[in-house]
Amino acid sequence: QVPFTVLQGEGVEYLGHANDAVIAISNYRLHIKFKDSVINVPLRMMESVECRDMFQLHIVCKDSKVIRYLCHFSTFKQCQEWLKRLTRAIARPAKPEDLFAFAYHAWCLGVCVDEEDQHAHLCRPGDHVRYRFEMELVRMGFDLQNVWRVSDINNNYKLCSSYPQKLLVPVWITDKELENVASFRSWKRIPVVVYRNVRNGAVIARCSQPEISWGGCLELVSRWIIWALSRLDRSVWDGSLGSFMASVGWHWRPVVGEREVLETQSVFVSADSSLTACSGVENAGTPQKLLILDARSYTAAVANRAKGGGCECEEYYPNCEVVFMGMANIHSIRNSFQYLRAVCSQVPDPSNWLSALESTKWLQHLSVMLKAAVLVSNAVDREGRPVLVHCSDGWDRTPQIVALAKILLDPYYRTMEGFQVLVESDWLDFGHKFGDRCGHQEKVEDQNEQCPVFLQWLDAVHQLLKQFPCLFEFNEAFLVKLVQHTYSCLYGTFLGNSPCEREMHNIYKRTCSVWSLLRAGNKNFHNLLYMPGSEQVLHPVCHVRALHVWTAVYLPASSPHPLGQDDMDIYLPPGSQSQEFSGRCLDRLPKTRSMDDLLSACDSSSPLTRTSSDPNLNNHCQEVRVGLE
Amino acid sequence: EIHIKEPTEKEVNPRLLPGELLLCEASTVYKYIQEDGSNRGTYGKLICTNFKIAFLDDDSASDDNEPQFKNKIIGENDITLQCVDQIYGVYDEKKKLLTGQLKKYPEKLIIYCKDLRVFHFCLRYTKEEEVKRIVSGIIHHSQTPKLLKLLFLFSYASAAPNNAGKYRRNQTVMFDTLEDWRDELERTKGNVKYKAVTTNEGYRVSEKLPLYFVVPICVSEESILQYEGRGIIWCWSCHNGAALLKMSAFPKEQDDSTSQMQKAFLDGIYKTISNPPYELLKTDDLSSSLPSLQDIQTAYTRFKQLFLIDYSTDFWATDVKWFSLLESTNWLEIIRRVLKKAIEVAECLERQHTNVLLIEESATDLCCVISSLVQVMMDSYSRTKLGFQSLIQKEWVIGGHGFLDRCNHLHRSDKEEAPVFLLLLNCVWQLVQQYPPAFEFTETYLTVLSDSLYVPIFSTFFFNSQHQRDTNMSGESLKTQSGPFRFLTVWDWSVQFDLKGQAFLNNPLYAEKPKPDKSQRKTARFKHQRQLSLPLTQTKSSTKRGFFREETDNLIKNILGKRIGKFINSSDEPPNSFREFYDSWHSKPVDYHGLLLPRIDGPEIKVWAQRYLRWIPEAQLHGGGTIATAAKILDLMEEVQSLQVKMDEEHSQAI
Repeated sequence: QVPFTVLQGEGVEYLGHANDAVIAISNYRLHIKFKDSVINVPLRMMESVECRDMFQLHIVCKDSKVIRYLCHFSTFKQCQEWLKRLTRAIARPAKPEDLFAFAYHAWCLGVCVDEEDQHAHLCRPGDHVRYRFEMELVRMGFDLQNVWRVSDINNNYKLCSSYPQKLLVPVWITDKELENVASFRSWKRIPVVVYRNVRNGAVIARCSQPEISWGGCLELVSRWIIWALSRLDRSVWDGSLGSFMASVGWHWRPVVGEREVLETQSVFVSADSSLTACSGVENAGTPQKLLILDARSYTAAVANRAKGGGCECEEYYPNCEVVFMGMANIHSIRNSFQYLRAVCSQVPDPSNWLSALESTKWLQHLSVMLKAAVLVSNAVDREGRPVLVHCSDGWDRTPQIVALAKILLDPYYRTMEGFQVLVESDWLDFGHKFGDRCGHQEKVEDQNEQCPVFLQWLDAVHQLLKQFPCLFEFNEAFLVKLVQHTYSCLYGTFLGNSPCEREMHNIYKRTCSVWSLLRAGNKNFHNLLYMPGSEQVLHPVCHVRALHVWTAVYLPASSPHPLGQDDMDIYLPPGSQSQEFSGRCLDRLPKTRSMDDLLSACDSSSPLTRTSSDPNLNNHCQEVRVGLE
Repeated sequence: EIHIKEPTEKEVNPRLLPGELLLCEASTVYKYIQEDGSNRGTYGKLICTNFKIAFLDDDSASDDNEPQFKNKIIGENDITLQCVDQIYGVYDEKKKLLTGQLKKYPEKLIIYCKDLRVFHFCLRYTKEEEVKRIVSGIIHHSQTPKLLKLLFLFSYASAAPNNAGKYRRNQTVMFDTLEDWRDELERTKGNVKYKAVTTNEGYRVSEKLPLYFVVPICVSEESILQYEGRGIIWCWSCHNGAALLKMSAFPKEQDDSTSQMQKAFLDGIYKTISNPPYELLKTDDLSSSLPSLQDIQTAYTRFKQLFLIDYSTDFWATDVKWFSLLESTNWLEIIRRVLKKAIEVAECLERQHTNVLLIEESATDLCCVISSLVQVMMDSYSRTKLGFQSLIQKEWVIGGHGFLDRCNHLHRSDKEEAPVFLLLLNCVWQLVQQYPPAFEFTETYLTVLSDSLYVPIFSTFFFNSQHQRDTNMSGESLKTQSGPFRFLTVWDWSVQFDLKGQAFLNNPLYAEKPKPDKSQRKTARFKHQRQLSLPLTQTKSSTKRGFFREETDNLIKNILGKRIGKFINSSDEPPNSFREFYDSWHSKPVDYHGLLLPRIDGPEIKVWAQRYLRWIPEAQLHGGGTIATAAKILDLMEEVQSLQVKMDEEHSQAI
């Protein structure tokens, strides 16, 4: 007897008994049912499995959960057998089609007669996601006649395979010049504009590091683009290009004082001094210098020169200010995350929780990311300065900063739809390597490419949500679900490394989108405290004191509310609730735990769930079916 | 020109309370807005009265944005004399602690407050004479030992006799009458086995004990008199009949016969109280199972230092090491241990149906913390505002906690100082932030309450005992008109806040107790009891009896000051019984009106950010944080209510 409801396309492959539990492995999940609790983990969520103390499975998950004392087997051999099965099950897939998202989608379609319609209904994100590029152009008020143009130079990804096909660039830069520029940026990731502040016209652009090895100051055209960016909307705004040209000066101000200090420490110095430096600049009259935000530390940037990379030298870039944020690279972040996971798995041993937490540096890294975003948002909002953000490749730290800054600046990205657009355009379109970073890319076994970059960013969003509980349309459960499905491979959204790759494997057509679950219509993810219409620019506090460990994700065992009948009322539609709509619900909603899956939360007979897969799709399918009937 | 000057002239006049006297003042003092090195600030007048130190801004424009939440007594730039923690002078960029007589006067004055504000005053532009007067005045009035009668409390009470007495007793239970104690006994169903006694009327038994208190029914008045009130005193009874009791330890006696007598006395008490109808008794010597007052004081001193920040650069510099700094203060660890102890006591009462006797040297410090916490956790009445205030009256104010000494209000002895009451508030805050719907009050309430410790117009926190308060009530020794003083109580929140401000003290999300008809509630309550009491006592009772004898002996040895070995704490239980109780409670859904156990794992014990970070500009969230949330929730609740009204109207119309 399979102890759970299987999803569409899910098949149980092994089913057996341990001393105290029923254990099952399907092509999607590991499920262990104890007398009064359940462990339910999607296979792709698991990072490693090992056998400890002869009879015990020890599972480490990618979202930082560690499952121990999992199951007691009567014999060593039995334990080994299950270990073998699990190890085989969680190995990297040989081809993308082996991922469960494909099977799931295929079966979902099979249920329905009219395939096209069903796909559209069930799996496709809304139009706001599909037509995001065009809609964003309009929403942000880009002047496509005089100032900007959409270049088709990357049609069919022929210029840069990790960029989207349509690129937004200054109108007077020709494709020929862009091609030139591309040869001086690593991976040909040229500077492209991704945000425009409607109020003052200041823009945010992103790119990869310059390649200086091609010979000193050869990067002329690239510089020219940056220079053009720095005056673009400004010239329109000022109305007098001539006076602007005349006032261009050569400013070189060393921003980073202590370059030799340890990375994390130098961060605070550099970020703060630049913050104060910025605030001194007068908004009126003087032309705004372009802010080039290099996410790396100065030392790391210089070190990259040896490998053919590099950073902008202010000497070559008139009218620019370069600020180094000192954000750690993916290897440090991965280490930090592994420490965090280890520390969290030690709870409830409280003796040295605080210093242990500090030694993971996780919150310190978050603090730096937030600071970088605040720097960008202040430059754009308060000073009307254009900003160019990059790190080394421009697909890890860059989207973290850019997307976070956009949330700070623009209330649209704090709505459910806007957030989807944000993730799609800044993370997926610009080639954040989800496949590699999450470790579900086929055949690759290189652990060095894995890193919870996106999870770290979601954590930062969670910090903002905590600080501004009334300014986000979605709630914490929304983010928690997003974390889960970044790794679960139930949806196709986060498969592959770039839009080019997803198109190649036709992932959009052959899998469901995660936004079909996290859709704006899903009341479970609505923040009841949301105040729509607030135009406020967020000014978060970034110091470590103010940051919280994301207990719902990292410490679900100790998070506030264990599932049970009491939690049910949260998920009931408001109509079915009695007039006793007390504040209790309001308060508890954001505390939703990661492991609660909505289906079992509604089913009072279901026992405690320890970790979740996502059966709500069952729900969803039924809903659709009902709708079709 | 005259027209422009006039308003500023008006502005500079200090607002004085009745009985408040201006003692000294200095003009053209420069107050830094925030010490970020930018030297921004405002000029004004620094004054010192018999109530407060205040800075009066020359610039009237600052009054434009009145904060929503404002104290009527203490302004933004007012520091009551009791609120001053330490005063530093800056001489040639060097900080020096200022006490007593000064030879040289500083160019800058830094005042650290007990509510964690930090003021920087520059005296460089002030006349030398005025500097001398104001600095020595401030130091004299805020830092030197004082007589009780010189507290502002008395001048205020004699100057404004009409202010007092407005607060009617139908609100917080003050526990200064026999009826209050009888009502409490009845409320907790403790009146079967315990009685309120009048033996101490006129304080003939002890000046440390309250006028009225509750003892086991079997204790006779003679024995209370004989042992000066030492013996078991009742705190609270659990729904299953088990009671929380306290007792002060006997002092060490050299005399053998006295100690024999004491032993006999205690033996007698234990014998009677261990027989039915009384439950088994478990004792807990808090002086050995919890950190000492000295430890608590040291930890808090270190902890608060983390928030008294001079320069914003310090703030950022410490941020990297924040967690290890925090851990090294040990303050959160102390909170955890206290909460853990309270859970242990709750487990005995709730699950084992055992009476718990808390023992401490004077039974007025950690006893108060633990007994209050246990009641907050177990008695949902203590989680209402009135209930909590009554609890503070019962356990602390009437219970005889030495507020005067522990807060060092009179600067008599630093050795006596210990933030015991703050420790309780910190612990309660942990519960409030873990289970907000269970509390009728907010964290703001707790913060404001902690600030009120230093406002000497309320008598609540300015006496060591009921006796001290009563004997100082009579105005005889003062030249003013006869008749007893009538002090204000801190529980009259209208003295400090207008209605709008008071709204912030109430939790709009409080899950009020549903009020079904009475018969239903009774059965529900009964069921609840059954659920919670596990069939543990039945099987174990025989072994317990045996243990009890042993423990009694131990206890007596201990109380007589002959401590042999470590005192036994729940030694008959397997060590994981606590954990089991804790885990099993946490695995079930929370009943906001039932037993409430705090989570005490590492990440769960947090810093009370509102109290400790509120004055630090870097930590302020504009347009966010708890205040914005609270405002939004209030809006929502209003909307819900108006919709409810509408629905009711529609409904009645339909009928």
